[in-house]
Parts: sequence; C-alpha cells; structure tokens
Amino acid sequence: MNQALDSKTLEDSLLIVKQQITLMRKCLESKNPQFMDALKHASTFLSELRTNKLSPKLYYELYVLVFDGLAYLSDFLKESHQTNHLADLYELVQYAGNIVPRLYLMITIGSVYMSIENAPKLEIMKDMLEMSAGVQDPIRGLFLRYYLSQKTKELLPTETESELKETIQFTITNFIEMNKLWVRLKHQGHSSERERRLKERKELQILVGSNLVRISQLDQIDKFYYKESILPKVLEQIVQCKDSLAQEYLLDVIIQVFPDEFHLLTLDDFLQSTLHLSEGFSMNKILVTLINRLIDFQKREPANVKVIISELSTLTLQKDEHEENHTEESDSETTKPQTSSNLFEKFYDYSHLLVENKPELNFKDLSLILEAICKLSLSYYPQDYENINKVFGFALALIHQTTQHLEIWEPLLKTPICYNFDPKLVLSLDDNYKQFASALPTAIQSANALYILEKFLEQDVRLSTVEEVKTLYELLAVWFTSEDSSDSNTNSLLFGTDSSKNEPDESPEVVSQYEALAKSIHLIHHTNPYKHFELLEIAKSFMSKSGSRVRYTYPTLLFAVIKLIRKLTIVQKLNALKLKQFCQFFSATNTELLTLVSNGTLQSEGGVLAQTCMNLNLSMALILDQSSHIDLSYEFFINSFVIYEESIVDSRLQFQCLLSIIGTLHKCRNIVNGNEDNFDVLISKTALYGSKLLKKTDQCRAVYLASHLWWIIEELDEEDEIESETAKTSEDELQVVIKTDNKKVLECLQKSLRIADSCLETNVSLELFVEILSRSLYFFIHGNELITIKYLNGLIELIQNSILTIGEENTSIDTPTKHFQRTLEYIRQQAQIDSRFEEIKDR
Amino acid sequence: MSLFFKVPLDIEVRLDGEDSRETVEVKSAKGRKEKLPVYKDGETVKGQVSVRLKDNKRVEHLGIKVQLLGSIETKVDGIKNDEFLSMAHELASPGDLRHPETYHFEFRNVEKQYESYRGKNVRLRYYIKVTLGRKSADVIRERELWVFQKNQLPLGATKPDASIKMDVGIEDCLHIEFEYSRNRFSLKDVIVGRIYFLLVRLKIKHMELSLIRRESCGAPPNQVNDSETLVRFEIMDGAPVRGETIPIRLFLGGFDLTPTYRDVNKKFSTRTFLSLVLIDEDARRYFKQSEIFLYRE
Amino acid sequence: MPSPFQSFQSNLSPSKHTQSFQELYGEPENFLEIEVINPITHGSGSSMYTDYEIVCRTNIPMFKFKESRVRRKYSDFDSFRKVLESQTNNVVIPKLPEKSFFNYHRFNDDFIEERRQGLQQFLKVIAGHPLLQTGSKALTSFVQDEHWNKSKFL
Repeated sequence: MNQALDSKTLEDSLLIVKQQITLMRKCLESKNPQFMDALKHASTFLSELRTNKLSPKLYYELYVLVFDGLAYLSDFLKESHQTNHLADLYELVQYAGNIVPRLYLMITIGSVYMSIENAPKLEIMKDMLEMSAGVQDPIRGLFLRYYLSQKTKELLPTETESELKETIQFTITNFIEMNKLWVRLKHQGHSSERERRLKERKELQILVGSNLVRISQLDQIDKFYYKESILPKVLEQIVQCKDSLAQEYLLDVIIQVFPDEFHLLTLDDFLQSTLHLSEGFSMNKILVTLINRLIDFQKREPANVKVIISELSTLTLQKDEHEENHTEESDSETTKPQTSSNLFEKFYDYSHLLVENKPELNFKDLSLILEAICKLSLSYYPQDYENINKVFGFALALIHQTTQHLEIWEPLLKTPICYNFDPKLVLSLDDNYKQFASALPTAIQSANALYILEKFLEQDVRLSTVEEVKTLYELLAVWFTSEDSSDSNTNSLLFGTDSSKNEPDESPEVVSQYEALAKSIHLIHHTNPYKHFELLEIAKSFMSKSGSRVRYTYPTLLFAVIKLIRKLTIVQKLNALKLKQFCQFFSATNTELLTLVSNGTLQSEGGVLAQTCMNLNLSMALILDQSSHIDLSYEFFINSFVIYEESIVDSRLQFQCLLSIIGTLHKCRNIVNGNEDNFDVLISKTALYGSKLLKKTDQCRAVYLASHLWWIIEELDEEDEIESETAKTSEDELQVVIKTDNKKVLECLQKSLRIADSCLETNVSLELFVEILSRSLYFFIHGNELITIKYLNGLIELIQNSILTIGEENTSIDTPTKHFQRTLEYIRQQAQIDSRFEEIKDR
Repeated sequence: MSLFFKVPLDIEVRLDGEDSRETVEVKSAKGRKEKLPVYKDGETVKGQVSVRLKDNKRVEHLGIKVQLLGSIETKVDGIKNDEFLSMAHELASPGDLRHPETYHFEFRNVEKQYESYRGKNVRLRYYIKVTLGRKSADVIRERELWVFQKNQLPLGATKPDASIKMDVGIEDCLHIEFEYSRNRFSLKDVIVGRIYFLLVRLKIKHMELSLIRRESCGAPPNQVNDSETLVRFEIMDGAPVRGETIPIRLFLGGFDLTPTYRDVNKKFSTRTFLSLVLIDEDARRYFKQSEIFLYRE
Repeated sequence: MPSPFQSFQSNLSPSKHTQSFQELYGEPENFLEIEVINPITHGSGSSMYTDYEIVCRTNIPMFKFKESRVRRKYSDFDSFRKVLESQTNNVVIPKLPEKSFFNYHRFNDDFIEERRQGLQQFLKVIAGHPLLQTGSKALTSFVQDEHWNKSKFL
C-alpha cells in the first residue's frame, strides 16, 4: 500500500469524524437534546472505522479520535439516563445495519449502563463480549475488543466471588479472542508482505497485552487464585498459539505485570510451559527477565520470599502426594522428576530439560540463561557454592560441543566474581570453573583473571591459607604461561623496526595485569610471620613461571620479606634459623632478577632493574643491621657492592646508587658499633667508588657526601629533648655520637675540593666550591676540630676570587653566586648565637 | 365527471373516538403517507355520516347507504377486485335533501377475517363506503380502515417454536451450520441464532442477514411473485476460520414487516424469508434462505 | 418484550463447538495467491509471441501444488476460457482483456503490461471461484500443469 495514499485516506476519515463529532455534540448540547440525531452522527463517524485501507498505526489514530467522540456520548448518557432508558437504547442501537458501528454503540451504551446501580452488569458484559465475535477482521476486531476492554475496565464487578470469576472469565476470553485475531493477522495480505505484517503486529501487541494488565489490576486476585485459575489458561494460549512474537511479548507481559510473589509461586508452571514454545523463540530474554525479577524480589523483600518458598514446598509436597496416589492407580504414568522447592534446583533442572527439549536453542542463549541461573543462586543461596560448581559443570559439558564463538561465554565466566559480595567465592569453586575458564580463548581467560584480581584488590581481600593463595594464582595461571607478547616483540625486531627502542614492548594489558599481580602480594597475610613467609614462597612458585616478567613481581615479594623481618624485629621474635631461610629466599630471588640483567634479556631496562636489585639488597642490609644481625647485614652490603660493580654501568645510575649506598650506610647503627672494621671497609669502599665516578661533578659530590659516613651523630628529636631536660644545658649532650673521625672527614673534603678545582669549567667549580663550603660549615658547627675558622675563611676567599675571575656579571654563575650569598647570610645569623662565627670573615 | 357536473354536496365520514384511536401510517399508492385508524377483528365500527349541501340547493337523491367493505385487489392480468366482506345499512330513503344531515351508523362486532395489506401487486383493504344515489351519478365517499389481526396463529407453522437448524455449503469450499432459535416470531420479536463455520476455503468479506418478503398472488400457472428485501443486516465483518461461531441477533420491532399469510381468500400469500448471505472478496454472494413465520401479537 | 441482554447463546441449545487450538491459531484454509507476471516475448517476425508466468501459492487442496510457476500465452488463456465456458453453464466467466486492434501494437510494453494486469485479474476471479475450483479440472491444469493441453478438455 502506498503510504501517501494511506495518510490521505486517514486525513479524509479524520475530517469526517471531526465534522460528525461536532454535529453530534451540537445535538447533545442543545436545550432540547436530539438524541436520535446524535446517534445518527455517531453511527456515521463510526462507519469510518469500517475501512480496510489503513495500516494499524493510522487506524489507531482514527480510533483515538473516535474514542474521544464516543466519550461525549457516554458522558451525556451518564447524565441523562433517567430520560433515556439505557436498556431501550441498548436495543435501539442494535438496528444499525453495519456491525462495526453497531458494536461500538452497544459497548458505549452498555458500559454506561454497567456504571448504573442495579444494572445487570454481568449480563451486559457477557452480551457485549459475545456479540463482538461478529468482527472477524483482525485489525477491526482487535480495536473493537480493545474498546470493549477500555470502556469496561473500571466497571468490572468484583464484589462477590462469582462476580470476580465472571470478570476474569470475561477478560481472559477477550484476551484469547484478541490473541487469535492478532496471530491471524500474520496470514493476511500478500505473502510477500510478511515482514510488514510482523511490524504491524508489533505495533498492535499492546492491545492484546492490555487484557493481562487488566487482570493484574484486580486486587482481589491472590497468588493462589492466580496459580489455579489464571496463569494456566493464559499460558495454554501462549504455548498453543505457536507464534513466536506472541509468545515472546506475552510472556514478557506476564512477567512485567504480575507481582513477583506470583512468579515465585508459579515458577514450575511457567518454566514447564516454556519448554513447549515454538522454535525461533528466543528463550533467554524471558528467562533472564524472570530471574532478574526474582533476584530483585529477594533483595527487596527477603522475608516475603522466605514465606513463599515455604508455601511452595508445601504445595510441592501436596502435589507429590497427589501424584503418588495417582501413580498407584496407573503405573504406566512416567514418574516426574522430584520437584524441589529450591529455586536453584528448579532452574538448574530446567536448563537441562531445555537442552533436551529444544535442540535448536543456541549456545548464546544458553550461556545467558546459565549466567542468570548463576546470579540467582548467588542471590538466593550466597553460601551454596556447589550450585555454582554445578552450573560450570554443565557449561563445561556444553562448551565441549563447540569451538565457535567461545566469546559468548565470557559473561558467565565473570558472573561468580561479578555478582557476589565476597570475591573469595571464586576460590571455593571446584575444578569445573578452572576447566571451563581454560577452555576459553586466552584473551578471555586473561581478562577474567584481571577482573578477579581487581575485585580482590578493590575489597582488600586477605589471602591467609595455602589453599587460597594457590587457588587464586591458579585462576591467574593464564598469565604465567603465555609469553605471546615477547614473541611478537622478537618478530618486530627481526624486521628491524625501531631498533633504538630496545625495551621489551609490553602491551598495556600485560602491564596492568602484572601491576595487579604485584599488588596481590600485599593481599597475602598471616598473623604468624613464618606462615606468612610460606605463603610468599608459594606465591613465588607461581610468579617464577612468568619469565622475564618476574621483574614486575619479585621486588614486591622481596619487600614483603623485608616487611616480615621488620615486624619480627619489632616484636623481637626473629628466629635465627628462620632468618637464614628468609635471607636465602631473598638472595635467590634477587639473583634470579639479576640474571635477567646479566643475560641481556632486558636490554637497557636492565640497568634500572639492577639498581632495584641493589636497593633491595641495601634495604635488606639495613633491616638486618637494625635487627642486630650485623654479619648478615655486612654480607648484603657486600652483595650490593657486587651488584654496583658488576651490573651498574650507566654513570648516572652509578651516582644514584652511590647516594643510596651512602644513605643506607649512614642509617646503620649496629654494624658501626658491633664491627667497626667491617663498617670502615664498607665506607672506605664507598668513598673510593665515589672518586671513581665518571663525571667530575659526580665524583666531587659523592666524595663530600661520603664524608658524612665518618661523622655519624644522631640528633635527638623533640620528645627525647623534653625527657632529658637536664641535658639541655650542654650542647654536646643533645646528640649521640656514633662515629666521628675528624681526619677522614677533612680528607674527604679536601679531596672533593681538589676534584672541584680540577673541573675545566670555572662556573662548575664555583658551584661545587659553594657546596663544599656548606658541608664544611656543617662539620664546623658539629664540632669537627679540623675544620677551622682559617679553613673556612680560605674557602670563602677561594670562592670570592673565583667569582671575581669569572666576573660578577656573568649570568652563568647566578645560581652559585646566590647560593654563596645565602651561605654568608647564614654565617652572619649564626654569629649572633654562636660566637665562633664572628671570626669568619666576610666582606 | 366533476369537470362537467359539479357535485352539489359534501359527504364526510367520521368515526367514533377517532382522535383517540390508534392509527397506522401507511404509504399510499402515490407514495404519500396517510394515517389510518386501526380496528381489530370483531370490533364494532361506528360513526356518523354528515352530508352538507353546497350552495344551499335542494338535492334529490335515490337513497343514502353506508357499507363496510373488505376487498382484495390484485393486479394480475388487470385489476381484479374481490370482496370478501360486505355489510350495508340504509341511512336515508330516496327523497330530497334540503338541510345538512348527520346519520349515525354502526356495524356491530364485525368479523374482520384478514389483516389490511398493501403490497406490490395486491392490496387488502377495509373501508366505509357511503353512497348517495342520484339519477345522474352517485356521490360516493370512502374512508379506509386499517385492520390488525392480533394473536393470529401463523399458518403453516407446524410445531410452535421449532428451531431452524441447517447444514449447508459448497462441497470442499464452504461448510456452515446455522441455527435460529425458532421459526416463528411475533413482529416485535427478536431473532437469535448463530452460524458455525466448519470449513472456509473462500475469502469471505462479510456476512449479512436479510429479511425478504415474498408476495405471491393468483394461482399457478398465472401466479405472480414479488420479492422485496426489507432489511439488510450485517452480522459479520471479515473472514472467519474453521471453528468460528458468529452470533445473530436481529430485533424485528423496528421494521415494517407483514405477518405471514397463506392463501388469503385464495388470492394471495405473503411470506418472509430469512436469508443468510456470505459475500466474498470478488463480490460473489452465497446465500441460504429459510422461511420464518411472522405473526402479530 | 425480550430483554436485550438475553445472550444469543441462552436462546439456543448450548453450542457443542469449542474452538480447538488449531482452529484458533492455525493458518486459514483459504490461502490462494495468483499472480501473472514476468512477460517475455519470444521469437521474431510472424512467429513472435509473448508469454506470462502464472505464479500460484495456495493451501487449497484442490490444487496439486502449494506453489507453482508455469508459462502461458494469451492464446492459452483464450482457449482456457473457451473450455470453461463449455464446461459450465451457471457460472459467469469474466472476459479476457481485449485483443489488440492493431497487430504492430502487440509487443509494445504498455500494451503487454495492460494485458498482464487484465490476465491476472481474470485468473484471480476464476481461481477463486468455488464452483470452478471444485468443478473444473481444467482450472487446476491451466494454473499449475507445466503444459496446457486444451484438447484434453474440449
């Protein structure tokens, strides 16, 4: 049909209807209402509804206008029924020659009649319903019956039980008839227009569904009545109409309009009937909607759910008894599987039946259904992991039947972790889950692993048993085995792309995976540090499988060990034997990391890793010093030096590493006191390293910094000050002297001064001179006797001359000059509180 | 005649209680509507005849009489008139009329065997005929009455209230079963029934119920039949499928129907048929007629 | 006076029919689609002719096939019509579209299209006629048989 023609037809009809409505209203609104004439106008505009030239959508527009027109008539009749006897009018309009106008008029008058007290409501209802059978044309019939339903909706009697029964009967009959017409519509018109018919039928679906809405609005219906007398009748029609559009829409309407408690009680009936739906019907939408409703219901009204489930089990029991009796009579009857009141069981059994009964069902649908069932179990039986195991067992069986489109199973895989508050659930699942996961493509496994881990991290879930640690890392197993990205990296190298960029090019995914993995080490926790250590060992056994990527995780692991030692030190429970184990573990792990550096796997990234390794060693050395294991500490310092010598090649890194070494050594206490010889070896070596650095500036700075290693004093902090108020009087007593060696300090300063002086660029030298002055002042203040006024004055003079030589105006020395000015200012200030400073000459 | 001879007087027939009497509106042969007083069988017909003189001239007459006549006029082979009822009273003996006169008349408890009827080829009428005999030409005045025969048992209805049930169709194409609650109905009755479809291979568009009046007059072989569709009533819109039941309800009271008459005075019959008509998409009509018997209650 | 609410059922013996599900929801039994499409002109010179494709889809059992496609010339339609006329006396057989008045006009596209529509209309009416469906073997043969052999029916 031509659309332009269609809308022209509509316009013409609308015009006629409007005119006739106006005329009708004139008749009704005049002082002496001319009711007969009004009826004639009504009948004329109703005749427009006889058209078969309009698509359902346009017909609906016409219907709406007609509906409004008839509403005037209804209102008039309501007010004037004393003068216009409704029973007579009801007969009168039946003389209309054409059936469509006749029935609209009958329903208009009939519904007004129903609204009047003592009217024979039931008879009127029945009569209107029965007479409507005369309209067999699907579209006209649907709209007529919709009119019937609209006009009677507020008027259906429900006072007594028998009235309620009639009302329901009325509505269900109308529903069946409308469904019939609606399904019949698909056979109308030319066979080449099937698609269009389907679209039109979709547009009309709401008319059919309105009957179910009507029933759902009857407050008098309780769930038992629904189960016994309503749902079976409706489901029967839905199943038998064998039309997938009708089935899909109507089942959805049922789920949407009736309360959740009804669904819960009638679950068996509902599920049973869906097994008989026609092919091509997409099951998952309905089931998923239903399950989601039930889940929400559980969340909203858990108490109510409990009550209904217990009612359900009573019902089931009764039913079983009934069936038993029945089977006694006829043994041939096949025994039905025991129905349980466990919702999960219901759905789980159902999913099997579905596979058996509907071989055409696709895996995508099944996966969605299983996902929903999984969610249901998590919501209703959050502790019952066996349910989830069952689901994955079933999914595993299904997935073995196919190799295609495995990605559809991803949501199911994620469900246990996604819909449970406690991520640990996933650790309680049996092998089915892991096997299921490993049957899926690596990318999906990998994403799921990250998903799981992120949940754990998000909620800071502690892993405190061997089982938990093992299971979690087993779930992440996919990361430890796949080295795909490094393979692809070799490929790109083969083709010589960007050889300057040598670092293994990790994908962002891998980086985020390993980042999470490293964080996961902090989740491992046990109140007993030795047990905790065992868990770390297990973790390492998994991490060790990830090749060069251990560089992301091992450092964390090593820090975890350091943390354990610190903890034990604080509580003073460090067992020497266990400590040895810790140290071995630490060294072995660290060595593995260094191997990556030495075998060149990491190219330029290796330096940074070596630095990390060295720093880890330093940390270990420090904590061992603090726990008074000075020999072990010494070993780790030596190890650090070995790493420095063997693996730190880059000069910049060397300088940084030296700073770390100096800093760490400076913090040591026990080794200085316990074995000063060893300490002297270490610090001398350090100073030596400093003097061997590549750049003069680095050399100079490293050496003057190393000077502090011969001058270690611990200043007491505020709290200690208050405690020992008496000590306040003497300056010396404010500090605890660890190590002071005036001579060595001076040597270092002198050496650094020489190095500074040997710099080719005078501005650089100047800068270093100023820095050395600052250091010298520090030692002067703290009482190094070899740093004398004379020495300081000499330095100042040196600097001043240097500035003069370069020229004050030279901008290249702005920074050191300013630094120098500030230093002088500082000296002036100090002079006010410390008379020694007065002798320092300034200009 | 009046062109040549001016009638010298007026005759008026008045019936007793005329203003309060039930009347019926019928169409005259010329298409005009006229209102006629209604009489029942056995009812007395009485009234007055007034004669007024024009120009106050004396009129000589051969006697004045009033008749109540019942006749059947048929148009088969020319107009024939058959009187089945004829009653007469003499109102005045021959003489002179000098003043206006009023005469009373009364026909007591007249049996009116048949109902008045105006059909296409037949009419059955009752009328008062006043004749003033003159030497030249009689002056005649007629006044028609309308007679309803109430409670008349329909002729030909064998069993009272037998329902009509029928199974009809076209082999392999259409098969329907229909049922009307009864086969005899009062004129104010309602026809109730249903149609059940057993097979529908036609593309049906509508279904109608028609009421057809068939008038036949004369005797075979010269019988003349005339059918007139009085009512067309759509009872179904669209195409049903097998198994569908369509309800029928037709109120008769609002239509101008005639009771069923069989061989009225061996002159004519009027019968009514209920016709079920199915119309398909190519506008072909399929119908089945069944006679119903109508009576006046 | 009868109450207007006497339901039509209550005045009748109770109906013995309840609709089965097949009846409620099954495909109607009156499915019949006839199309005359796809005219092709064959040959040349004096042996030139146009034929048309008759497409028939139906679920009416009188037809042998649920779906069929055959080709017929105008002259076939003409002879078919003659057969029908000779076979029946109480069915009015509709007329075929007019013959072309000028011979040169016969293969003009507009003419062919007009004729196609006429033939389709003709055949629709014929095929949908219950008496012809059941009473005429020629009808199903003409609409569905690969070859139309009028001599079988004359």
